[in-house]
Amino acid sequence: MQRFPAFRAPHLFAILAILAGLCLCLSSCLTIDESMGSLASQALSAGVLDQYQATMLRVAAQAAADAARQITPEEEYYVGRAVAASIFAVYKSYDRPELADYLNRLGQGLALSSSRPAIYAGYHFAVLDSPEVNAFASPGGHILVTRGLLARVGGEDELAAALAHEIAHVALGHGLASVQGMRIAQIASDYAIEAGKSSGGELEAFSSAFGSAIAELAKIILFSGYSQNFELQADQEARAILYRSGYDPNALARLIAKLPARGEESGGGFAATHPAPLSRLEALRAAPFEPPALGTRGKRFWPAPRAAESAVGASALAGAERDPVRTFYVRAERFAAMRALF
Amino acid sequence: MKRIFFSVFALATLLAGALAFGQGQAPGAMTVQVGKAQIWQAPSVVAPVLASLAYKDRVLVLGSGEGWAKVQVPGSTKVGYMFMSALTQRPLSSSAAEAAVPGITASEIALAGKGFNDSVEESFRKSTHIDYAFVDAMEAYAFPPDEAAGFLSGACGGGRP
Repeated sequence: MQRFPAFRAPHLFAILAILAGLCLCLSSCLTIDESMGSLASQALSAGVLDQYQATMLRVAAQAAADAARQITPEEEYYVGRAVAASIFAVYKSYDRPELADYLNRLGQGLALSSSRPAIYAGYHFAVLDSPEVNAFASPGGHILVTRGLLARVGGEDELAAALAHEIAHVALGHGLASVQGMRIAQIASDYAIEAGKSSGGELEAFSSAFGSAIAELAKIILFSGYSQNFELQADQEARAILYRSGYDPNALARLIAKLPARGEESGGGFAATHPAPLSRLEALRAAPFEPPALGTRGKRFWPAPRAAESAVGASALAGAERDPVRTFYVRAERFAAMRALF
Repeated sequence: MKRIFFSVFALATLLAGALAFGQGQAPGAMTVQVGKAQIWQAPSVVAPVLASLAYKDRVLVLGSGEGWAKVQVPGSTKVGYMFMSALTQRPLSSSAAEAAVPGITASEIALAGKGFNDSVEESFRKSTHIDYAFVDAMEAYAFPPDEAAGFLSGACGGGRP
């Protein structure tokens, strides 16, 4: 049986002093890193730790503070970049600058009407050169759609519906929620505490641990998909985005009706990563989209929009030029021009 | 002895973490949580831009509603509007450069102080040989909000950024 080392009086005194210091630090409303930094200083002066270890404790304290909070938007962005890069390692990019330009203008315009229009580095869109019907959204706002999906959309409304669904996953934070985002912050904390025990840098070990988390998230996004609940939430949010952007919210149901059901495709694809189209359609029917009434969505402190702009009046697009007939023809023409590239 | 100290430290960290959870900002003041945030003259992306703020900048919020925050333009008496999603009440950790701790490498500070960042990405790229070229390429397509809004309505569009 392993025996605990005997306490020596000076060390016991030091530990008690540190604990007393901790209580004082916490009761005086210091932040966690400030508290632990103070503790490290006390440990150093008590001779419990050497200079390097005390320094590492201060660093670990900062990491612990990080672990106590949520992932920052900046971290979410870097996670998203890694996940997107992992997807590009599986699928080839479809490099058509005109199509990328079109998709990004459309997608970035739609994102303005999402529940999270501003994210760390914005929303970005790309096409994957695959006949498979699929689309992916990384936490950082990188949205990837396959040529197989583009081939199924019947107009700009339906394309907007596909993009709006993926934007909704980003806006609602489904990516990190799927892998318990706190775990990523925990990796940072674990690293710093481990580093406190040794005298060397562990950047490579940390990036390897982070790589495991990325692989887990990429696996969910690529092969198993989000939970059915998240998918249905994204459908609801997508309809609101379409409505606020001046597109037909029913375009989402029209698009879903064209998507492959399980068994229609082999080797994964949309059917593997999304609920059956019929169940999505039933969920949409069960909760019909109701346009929000003006003046009932919260406190207003700016002039009410004109009735003619009601569809977008309370959105980020208020004041943008609105000529429904002209808009209809412009959208139809540019979609027809792009379709040749799908 | 050092093991005991680290055990005490770990327990203290957990306790302090639990107590620190929920600490908020002073009422009215919020932090910018996006890389670049604009303040518009009116709650619309097609309104004139009064100012641009960067990640972690602080701003005084006067009110909010329908996804917008009414703010005081920093260094001015002007009032403008920002996306509420560009702001957060929670504190954002200090950057690696700000955490000037002697005796350890910049990468160690970056990791422990900030979590996953460009330093870690660089190490991750080297160790996995994952190609970020396509990610960088798609990020090059970034349009100003007024231009993206104009594209939806058909008022403007076309041409590469």
